[in-house]
Parts: sequence; structure tokens; C-alpha cells
Amino acid sequence: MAEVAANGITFHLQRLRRQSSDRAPETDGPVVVFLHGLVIDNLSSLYYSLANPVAQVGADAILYDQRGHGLSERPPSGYRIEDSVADLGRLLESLEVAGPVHLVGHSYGASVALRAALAEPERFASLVLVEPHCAESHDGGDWVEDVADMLTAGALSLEHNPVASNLSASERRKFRGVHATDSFLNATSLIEDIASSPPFTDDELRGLQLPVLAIYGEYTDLASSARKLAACIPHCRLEVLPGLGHAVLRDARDVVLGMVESWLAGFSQVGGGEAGQ
Amino acid sequence: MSITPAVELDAIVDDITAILVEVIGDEFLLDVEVTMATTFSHDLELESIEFVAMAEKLQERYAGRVDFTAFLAGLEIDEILALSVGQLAGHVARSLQA
Repeated sequence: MAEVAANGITFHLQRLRRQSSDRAPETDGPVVVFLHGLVIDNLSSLYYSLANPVAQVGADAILYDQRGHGLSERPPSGYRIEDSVADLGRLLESLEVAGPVHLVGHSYGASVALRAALAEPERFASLVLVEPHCAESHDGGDWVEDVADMLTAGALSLEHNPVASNLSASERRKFRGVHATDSFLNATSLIEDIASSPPFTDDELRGLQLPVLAIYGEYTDLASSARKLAACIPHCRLEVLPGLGHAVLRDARDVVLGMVESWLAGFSQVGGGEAGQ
Repeated sequence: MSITPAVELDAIVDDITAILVEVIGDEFLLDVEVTMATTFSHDLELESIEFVAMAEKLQERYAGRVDFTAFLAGLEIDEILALSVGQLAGHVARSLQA
């Protein structure tokens, strides 16, 4: 397991590069960093679906479990989006990654990618945002508040329904995930920190000059975010996948992968990068 | 010295089993006997993150002679989910013979 220390946290990180005929890693494409979603998610959701295929066509694919997630360290506090942005920056410095990188974010990971690009645009070449939240309100209310409420409900449920003992080995393994989620929600400041995330303003999105590919499902609850990104970000291409909701990565992996590969192929290493096709 | 394919596959299955114990502990051996037909997702209930850890240990075990990530990149997602120990062992054997 690759462990990288950055920003006071030990992160689980995977770096995928195609092997040449003599088994040495080779890269003739861009550096692409993948950011996964919240709580029950970790780098494995992007490892097989997007990162590995992208690495096989030449990219230097970097994935890491964000703080508190997967096999990375889980501090009791520090789950604001600003903390996640700082983690990304310090990780890139620890890895001595030179030059602008492409970010591919999924769900909350895409929100982190967007906030990171607003903070340090010179560090990044482009953004691929799969179902990020960025609007202050959505159909049915405030999404951040809804997510915080859902996480709180989940945490209370876990507190009041402790896992039974005398389980078989298989059952113990199944409940391991439940225990992990329980400790994450009930023993850290995650929920409060997520709930206090600052909104993305129209003005700051209008100032983002990076090329952005935004991918949403037609029936996503985050339709307001999709409209906001398309309306505000100067170089944003919005792709809406028909018939799908928030889970576009799960339900239409091949389509999303094709879009990501085409997007990255549209950039040239020579000349410092052009808008993706 | 030449080794018959059957003996070689058994040795590889043993290697994979040992790596599984490193990743998820040895409790699963109480429930499952690891054979060529054993599937990682259904029989062993391997979580995705554990699959990643296993892949990394395999790369280390075979000192780069087996390109696990290229093998996986050639599979559809549902094929990865249904992957058996035998399919993986077969890929390892072919890689080592190359």
C-alpha cells in the first residue's frame, strides 16, 4: 500500500501508469488526479471505472483516499472543503508533480476539484466534474443541508442499532463497513464541516478560466448545479446523460469513460494545453 | 527444470490465497476453500478497496512480471466483479511464461 504524508495526514495513494514491454512504467500523456465522493466512497470506485483505463492509454493516473476515507488517516476534525483542497495541493507537492494536472472528480470529489481550481487555477490544466454540487439550493431545498441531514440520520441509526455479537466470519466482514461508517459519522466533525461549506458564488465561477467538462444525469437532484456551471463558467461544456440520475458513474461507466478519454485526448502536451474537444 | 501447468497453477492459487490472508485476514478460510472456481466478489465478498490492495501485493509478489492493471483494463466492470481465482491464476501463469 502506498502511503504518502501530506498536510499532516497519511494518505493511501495509488499511482497507475502503463507498463512498457520491459515492465517499466511509461507515460506519454498527462497527469490526471482522481477525487472520489463522500463517506462510503474511496479510491476504488474510480480505480477500475476511470483511472486504470485512462492510465492504459498513457496518462499518469493518481488516486488517493481523501482524509477519513478508505485507508487514509481519519482525524477527528478538519473535514471542511478547504482542508480537502489543501490536502490535494500538499499531496501534489509531496509527489513532486510538476506542471498543470487534470482533475477528475466524482460527486463531492468534484466539488473539491472545483474549489481547488478556484483557489489555485495555475496548478491545473482542466476539470472533469461528474455530478458536483455547487448551487446554493436545488429543487426541494438546500442540497448540503439535505446531505448533512441524511448523514445525521444515518449516524443516529447506527448509534441506536449496535451490531450484534456472535456473528460468523462472513457476517463480521459485512458489518465491518457499517462499523467504519458509524465511527466516521459519529466520531468526527465531518457532518458539521460539510454543513458549513461555503457556497460557490456566480462571480467566482465566472472568473474560472480553466476548461471544464461537467457531466450530469438527466434526472439528477443537482440539476441547479448543472445549470449554474454551464451559465457561469466561461469554458464549460455540459454533458447531460439521458435517463440517469446522480449515479451516472455506476450506471453509464462506458459513456463517462469515453467522455473522459476524449476530453483528455483533446489536450496537447506541446504548447501547454488547449481546450478539450 | 520444467513445471507442468497444473502444478504451476496450484502454486499460484496458493500465492493468491496467501495474499488474500494478508489483505482480509484468515477468518474467511473458515467459510471458504479457495479453488480455481472461487470468485473474489461473490464467494470471498472482497470489497473494491481490498481488491486494489490485493492487486498491489500481486504486483509486488511477482516483481513486475505480471501486469495486473493491464489485465483488468481489458475486462468489463461486470467481468471484474465476477472474476475468479482461476482466471487470475491463469493470467499470472501466462505472464510468467512469456
